Amino acid sequence: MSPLITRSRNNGNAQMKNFFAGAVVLVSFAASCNALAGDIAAGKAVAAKYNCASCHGADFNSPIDPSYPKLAGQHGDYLEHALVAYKRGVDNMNGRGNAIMGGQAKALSQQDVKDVAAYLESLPGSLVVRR
Amino acid sequence: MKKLLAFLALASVAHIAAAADVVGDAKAAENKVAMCIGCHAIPNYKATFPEVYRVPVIGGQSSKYIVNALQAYKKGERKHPTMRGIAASLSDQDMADVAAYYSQQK
Repeated sequence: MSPLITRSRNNGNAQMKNFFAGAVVLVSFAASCNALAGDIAAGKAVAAKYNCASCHGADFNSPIDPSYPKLAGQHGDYLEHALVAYKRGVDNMNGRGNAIMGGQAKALSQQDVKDVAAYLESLPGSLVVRR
Repeated sequence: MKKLLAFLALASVAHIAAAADVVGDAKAAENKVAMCIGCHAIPNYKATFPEVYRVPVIGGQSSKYIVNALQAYKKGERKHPTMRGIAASLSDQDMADVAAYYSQQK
């Protein structure tokens, strides 16, 4: 066997090892992404714990006052952004200031935000995208 | 006495007119929503700056909330840069019209 061939076979083994190592990293990354996604059942519990329905309505589609938004069926990633913005507050970049929502959102963990957003998005509502 | 009553009646009418909220006209909004539809009329359209997420669904939302949100952007209580720029260009009447337009959607 010539040294050239031996070297190339060794290279091949190294590449194979790298490939598997990469695959392991990818799989574990995907798993951790899953853990960070919103959980609808947990989100329902978060909504109950923080009394979201007391303003936004029992079905989250009929707020107790028209100055509050309907949330049922709203895009989850937007709701997440809005809650994070309230957490940041009005003095921070892309934040929001609101007397009620500021207090509500600051009590939520990052996972709470994702869960409650997933729950609200899963609910049937009357919001529509029209021209 | 008659004059006084007439004056009082007029004064109360003027007071009511001044106190009333701006009334939104969905028809008038048809010429004002050009800036909205580029994002809000496209299903699952994503905002890309400064954060990536689908822009909110606003059809069927109440007009009062829509006006509140627009005013919050204009005043700087909501900091999203694109919406701040747009809301700053709207008068109270524009906001009421646009809100009427979106709130009636089903």
